[in-house]
Amino acid sequence: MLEVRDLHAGYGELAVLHGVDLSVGVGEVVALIGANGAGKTTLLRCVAGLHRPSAGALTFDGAPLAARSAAAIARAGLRLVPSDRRLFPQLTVRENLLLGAHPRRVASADLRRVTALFPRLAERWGQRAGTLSGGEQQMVAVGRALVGRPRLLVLDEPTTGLAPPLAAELYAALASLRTETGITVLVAEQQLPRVLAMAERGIVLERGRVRHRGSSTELADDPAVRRAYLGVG
Amino acid sequence: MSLLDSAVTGAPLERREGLLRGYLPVVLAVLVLGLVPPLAGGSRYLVSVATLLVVLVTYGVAFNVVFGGTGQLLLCIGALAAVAAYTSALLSGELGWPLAITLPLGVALATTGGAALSWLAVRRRLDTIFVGVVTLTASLVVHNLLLGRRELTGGETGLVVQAGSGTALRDPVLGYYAVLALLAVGLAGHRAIQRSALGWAFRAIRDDAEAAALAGIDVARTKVLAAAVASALAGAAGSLYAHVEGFVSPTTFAFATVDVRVIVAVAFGGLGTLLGPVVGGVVVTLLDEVLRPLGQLRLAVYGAVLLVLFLAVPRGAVPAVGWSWHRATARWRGRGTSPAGGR
Repeated sequence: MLEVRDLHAGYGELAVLHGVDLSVGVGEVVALIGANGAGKTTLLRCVAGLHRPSAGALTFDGAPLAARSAAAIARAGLRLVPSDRRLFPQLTVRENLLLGAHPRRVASADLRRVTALFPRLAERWGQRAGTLSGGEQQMVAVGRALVGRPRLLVLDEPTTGLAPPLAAELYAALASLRTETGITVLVAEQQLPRVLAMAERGIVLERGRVRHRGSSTELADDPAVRRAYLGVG
Repeated sequence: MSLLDSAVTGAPLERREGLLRGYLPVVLAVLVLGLVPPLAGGSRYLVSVATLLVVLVTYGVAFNVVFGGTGQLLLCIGALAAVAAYTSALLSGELGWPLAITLPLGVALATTGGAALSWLAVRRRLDTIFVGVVTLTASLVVHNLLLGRRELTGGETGLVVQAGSGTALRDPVLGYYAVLALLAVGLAGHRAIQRSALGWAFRAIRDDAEAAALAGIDVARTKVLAAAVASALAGAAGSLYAHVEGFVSPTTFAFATVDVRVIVAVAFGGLGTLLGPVVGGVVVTLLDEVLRPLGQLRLAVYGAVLLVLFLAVPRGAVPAVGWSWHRATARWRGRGTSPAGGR
């Protein structure tokens, strides 16, 4: 579904990605693992059309993404939920969600699905998004992506800055979403146990290069990965 | 959601009210302005002041759509109006073409110009202040062309507009109703945008352009479209005014004459609100008239008065009235203080 081939990207003189290969198949959940500064966000921003790679190929459903705008990529069914959420702070929860399917009207079934997934949002329905807690904002961000009916949901560190119970709640919701809809997900994360519990495969990024790749169990058992990301070994 | 509330918050984002209630503020504003000629008691002076007021408000609606809507600081409303007006004046004067051709051509040229500036700004990813610098520069270029090409434009003495002479437009009262009709179209159009998917896109872009792109909103296209709509309205207002007056001069469309007043009017009335330009335009025009005897001192007093107004109602008069109304009605219903969605 998503193919990334030999991707190079950076900011001016600073090169961040040095030839990254990655693929996500239909129905898969793939974890993108790496420390701060490994290049996860840059990679996901390239995928979503927010950052222009310096070299390499990106295809979604076989079609190249290079020439397409972020909006066109989103409409094609690839939705990024960035780590800073990027909600519309002046708009209410409801309005944020309604904008997720622009210019279509959001089906009420889709809204109900989001509130079933995140019951808290129903309580905050008329509240401005800028006044929500971090966890609630993340729920709105994921909900806004979902009402656009994405075929590939891309999450950039969804639990950053969330208290552990909220992070657990978010992953529980994502897991149930996955069981219900079989949606394809690419998720960048630093918290290994949580993400590996949901993902089939993982890719470990280190300083802009793929260092390890394998099934979730392989990665969880790999001594080097355990040492680096689980603090044990 | 009360009528006033929907007019104040600008975009109800959903058809919660019926068609009639949605457009009622527009109808009321136009009806009130329509009473000016009968109440003026045949005073040509009052009608001409009112004509200028309605044109200023129409410019304000255009600026409100593009800046209040999408955050593009288009500081060339006067220049766009000049392009449309001079195009029509020159084509009719030099080539003898009729109004029915020259007016639309002028408006089309202004629309293209405004859209091109916006497209350039979007392509170059200019932020608000640089869009302001670029469009202000464009304004000065237009102004200097009008002054410099005097064999064509008559320089600072201006130009008599041939098109429209002998028609109803030249009658002061009918001319007034003509510019008022254009304002009605502008206000109704702004209302229609607020209620449409495009209005949603505006609010999203104004709040966070990158988030809007991630939600699938074509930011570039929306911005250029907003600039085109605003330029068309500003061009039409400037051109219509020129045909009503039968005369154009660079001063009519100068930055200090048009854009400064428009910014003050829209900022005072309430940026992005439907009726903000109407309220702001009336206040600016009244101030202008009241302070006229002061001569040179007028500008200083004008500035001081506006400063006080801005400090008293920083987000504009229309939203301020809306909040008080909302608070009053909320207290009446025993629900306590101001609403969360007050903005």
